[in-house]
Amino acid sequence: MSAKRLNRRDFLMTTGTVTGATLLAACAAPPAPQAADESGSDSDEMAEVVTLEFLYFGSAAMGENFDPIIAQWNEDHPTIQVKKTVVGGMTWGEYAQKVAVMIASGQDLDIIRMAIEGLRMFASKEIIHPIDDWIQRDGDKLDFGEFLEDVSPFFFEAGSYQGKQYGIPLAFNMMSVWYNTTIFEENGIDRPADDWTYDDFLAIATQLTQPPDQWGWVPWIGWFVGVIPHAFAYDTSPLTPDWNAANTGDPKFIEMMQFRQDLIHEYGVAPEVGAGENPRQKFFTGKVGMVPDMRNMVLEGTKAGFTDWDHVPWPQKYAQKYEVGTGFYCIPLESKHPEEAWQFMSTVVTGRAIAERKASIGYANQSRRSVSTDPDLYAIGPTHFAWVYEAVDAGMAQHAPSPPDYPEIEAIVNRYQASILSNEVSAEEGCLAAHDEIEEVIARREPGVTGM
Amino acid sequence: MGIARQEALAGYLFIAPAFLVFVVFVAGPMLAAFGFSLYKWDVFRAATFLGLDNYNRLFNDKRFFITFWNTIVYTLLEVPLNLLVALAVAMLINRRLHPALRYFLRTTYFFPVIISFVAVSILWRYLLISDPTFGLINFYFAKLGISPVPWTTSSRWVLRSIVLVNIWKTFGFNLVIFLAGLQNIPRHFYEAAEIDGANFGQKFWHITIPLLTPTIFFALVIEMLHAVQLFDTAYVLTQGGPGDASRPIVMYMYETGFQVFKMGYASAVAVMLFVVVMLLTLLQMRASRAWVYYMGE
Repeated sequence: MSAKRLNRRDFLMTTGTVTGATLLAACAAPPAPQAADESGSDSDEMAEVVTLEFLYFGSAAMGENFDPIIAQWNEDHPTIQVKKTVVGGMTWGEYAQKVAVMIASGQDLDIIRMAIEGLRMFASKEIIHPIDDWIQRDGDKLDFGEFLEDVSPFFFEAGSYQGKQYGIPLAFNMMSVWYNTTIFEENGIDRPADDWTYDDFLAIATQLTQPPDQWGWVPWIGWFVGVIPHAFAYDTSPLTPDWNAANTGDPKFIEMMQFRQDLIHEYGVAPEVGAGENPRQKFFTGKVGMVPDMRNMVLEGTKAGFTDWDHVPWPQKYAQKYEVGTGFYCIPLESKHPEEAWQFMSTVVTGRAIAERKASIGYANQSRRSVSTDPDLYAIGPTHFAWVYEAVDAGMAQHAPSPPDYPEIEAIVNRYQASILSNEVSAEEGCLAAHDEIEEVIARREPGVTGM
Repeated sequence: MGIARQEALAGYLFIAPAFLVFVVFVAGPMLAAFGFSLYKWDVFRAATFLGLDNYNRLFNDKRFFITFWNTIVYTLLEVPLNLLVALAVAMLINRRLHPALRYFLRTTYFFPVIISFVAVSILWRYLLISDPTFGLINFYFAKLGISPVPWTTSSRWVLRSIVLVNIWKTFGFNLVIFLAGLQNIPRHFYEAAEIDGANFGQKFWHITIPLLTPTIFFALVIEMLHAVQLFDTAYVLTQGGPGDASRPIVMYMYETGFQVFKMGYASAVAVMLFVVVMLLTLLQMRASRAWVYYMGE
């Protein structure tokens, strides 16, 4: 047999073929995700142990609050074990994107904690289960039925898309004005009335501003924490009420952005802030009178040793409406154990599970009315707390706009918001430019995709 | 099997692991990105073939050009400044210092290189807060009677702030490279020049710089490749703002791909970036023939 010499040309030809095949493979259509195995891998006769992958969003400390519940569940259900992974250090929007990438890359997830910001994106892309059938089936079970009665329909509405329910509401945040009680006291300012106005707000901010030692207000560049609470008070929104069209060109919206710009550059009651700066940390320095924030500040503040706080409903301009963002449990469509995931989800919202993590309840507003208004559970944090759920029941709460294309729209608004607050563009110019860009995004929606 | 064939086979076997890694983790993804750029794909649903539509859109995308321009401006500012600072400090350290002091200085300047970009950016975010009530640098500026600098809130300043942070973070790497290059220049060249009466400037321009050109060229190529990949610092320090004033092209690519899930369009951005970087590198290689001097050639 004659030995053929392996020369450079042969080597290059071989590798060229491999590379060419890779190129062809690359040019082929990227794969669509596989449908979930409907039969389920747990259908064997044998008592197979199922491990549920539970993705929790929050700080490590908040994640630890769930450990007793999971430990109890794992003890009670030897064949359905729950394994929790905590993801934190990012916004809800970023978390939603991370989860989406995890699911798309084929990671096994069975239960995910999701906020309103990501829910419709997930629902419209059909990557989470509608849960109506399970709710229907288990609605008259004692513990779960009690949960359904205890939760305002407002929170279920937040977890629905195109008439189907996708998430069990767990907790929520309402944007409010948090103020430093010591600074208020030192300046002889009483807690503002629940129906205070923007004029009251500006007067207090002006009184408290003593640069460079103290600011009356520190703004937040963001969607949920920045632009939306102001927009609702001005009876407007970046999107139309059905979330199907842009609305940042609305004169009220422009007026609101002008006011926010003026707080810094005209009235001088707030410092300039860069994108990504968090007013909460500045508030904890004790040099800020008021900040826009929400209940989840309590855990961070307590850890930082700062408790000189109370909060008051957002002031009103043309409307008394308060922004709410709801958090849910969802089941990914790719989950191999959706039934077991549902069992876990519908159990951890029951009264017994709530009692098990009593110590940590006050770090968030719970979707259950009986819990959110219980003075024992809310002993930590600001003195006034009951008004939050009362505002929900009184119809003053409004969902943070979160259509399926939320990440893209949020990024546009935040970009122009930063430019407006830095006085780089006028409020009108920024709002109109944002309006056009949002319209382009909405025009690119897939057929059948709607805002809510 | 003949000896020549055995030798060839051995050689190819030795390079095969590296070659395989290159094909799987570099060439493969690059080709895949080219493939994806021809599709509309949101990672959740089957892709739709678009042909060159993504590229057509790219050339009408104002933000693509803004972010590309930001990257160019950043590169033009950061690369020469970084190399100048590194060279200046390397020359200071290369003087006849006590070895312990030299070691200490070299380690001190190199230390930021081993810290992650994210950690450095978070630290600097606090230092560069524009308001002197909370920003440490502007606090001391105010004490000295200097007006506060809008580090992260003005489009005039924001790229400069990123340049400042990244030079602080990375010049230690180039410093070590330059130090090695300086120590490789034979002493007798300087001694001969001194005998001829050359002053510091003459020695610098006619001995140090020419003999350091291979090192400068290496540092230039590496630094430029780092600069065009700017991401972490901008993402953490300024989030690309205000507006798009500090958004680099890689951040735009990331946001397009992983925040709004337009993988095809993001891949088109990546392909364009690849083409530009490749052209720049080829240009540098070609231009180097005119100014890089290799001893012994």
